[in-house]
Amino acid sequence: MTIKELKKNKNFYLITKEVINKSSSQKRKILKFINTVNHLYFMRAEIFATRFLKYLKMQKIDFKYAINAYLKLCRDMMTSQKYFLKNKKYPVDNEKLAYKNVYGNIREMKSYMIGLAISQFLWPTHYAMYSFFIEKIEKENSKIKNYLEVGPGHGLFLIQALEKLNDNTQYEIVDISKTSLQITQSIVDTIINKERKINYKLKNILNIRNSKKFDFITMGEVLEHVTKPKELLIKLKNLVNDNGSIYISTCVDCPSIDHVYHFKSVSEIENMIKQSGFRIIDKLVLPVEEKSMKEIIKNKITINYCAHIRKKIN
Amino acid sequence: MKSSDIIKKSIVEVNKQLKKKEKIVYKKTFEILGPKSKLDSLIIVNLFIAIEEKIKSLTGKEINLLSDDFFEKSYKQRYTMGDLEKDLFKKKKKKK
Repeated sequence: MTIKELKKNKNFYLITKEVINKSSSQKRKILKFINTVNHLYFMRAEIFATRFLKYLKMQKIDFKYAINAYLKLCRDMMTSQKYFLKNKKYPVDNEKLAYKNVYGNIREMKSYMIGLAISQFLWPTHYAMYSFFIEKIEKENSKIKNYLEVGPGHGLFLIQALEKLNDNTQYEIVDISKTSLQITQSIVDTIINKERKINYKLKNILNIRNSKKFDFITMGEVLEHVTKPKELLIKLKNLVNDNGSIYISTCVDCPSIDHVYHFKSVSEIENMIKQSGFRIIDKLVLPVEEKSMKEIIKNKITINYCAHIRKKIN
Repeated sequence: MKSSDIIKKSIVEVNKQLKKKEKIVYKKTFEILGPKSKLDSLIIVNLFIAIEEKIKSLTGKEINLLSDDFFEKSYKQRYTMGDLEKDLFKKKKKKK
């Protein structure tokens, strides 16, 4: 695929062009990525961009603000990476501070969510995880009557579930951030026209005390945001049906403005998943730079990780 | 120590970890960020850390090269070795 193909997808090109014009380092990375993608990528990216622009218009969010939100995300990542390499620890080490700085800060959270939504199509690892999720939800489709998502953020994964699953599926959406939940809800309301049974809950998933079980749970990029990720995994084990499954994603050596738990290796993540009572059905291990795994580990370069897991039944 | 010498010493240090095609060259027009730059963010971060640590061991002062100035310049056009040298000079002076 080439820049020619990119230009054919006018809304996605509009977003990409603006990012490229504003940042030469992004230009290099994006064009390199675009050369590796297929038609399906452009189809998905154009659908995303069309909806995203509609959302911005309806919410009266300036297009330039959205592009700057994405560039701010890239800048924050670089600043956090520098802190991490210099101090050998993440910039934030407790949930309260992350809440104060990000989830509880409307301005910051809005910018963060918009930036992350764009990154889903401009960062190869984010797009790979998004595709992995779509593949899994399509495969499990017929079994899913109850769907739970923890920390839906920009709502792109939830939208896929809403489009792929049966009309009668019931949805529960849980988040500790009011702003995040409002963003998710407004995105869903803008994009999904059909009537859906969605229950939004502003709550910590650990405090949910119900006996309801779910056929599919999505928890993307949440484990690294809590100090005790194993507690979360054990909670999910209690919430998923015996024949249900879970999509999770997290990362290794990934400093950010709101990451508090530092996974030091892929095996640390996988051991935690197994010790929490799950088996891994499928997974993706995605370093963010094109280097050998030896170099990635040595230089503490971020590795994105996602997996499709099921309960271990004795 | 002159800013240029601090940068040169830091480059030598960072280059030890890099492959031949990735090596940083001390030249005023060398693009750290820009259309012609071949450096990834990790290399830039490591270069800045090396410089900041040198400043700290020489003067005891902490400076931050990855500041808003850096991002502003790099977004607008390009950020060269010459820009880095100027920034370092200014930051060293400011901290005195």
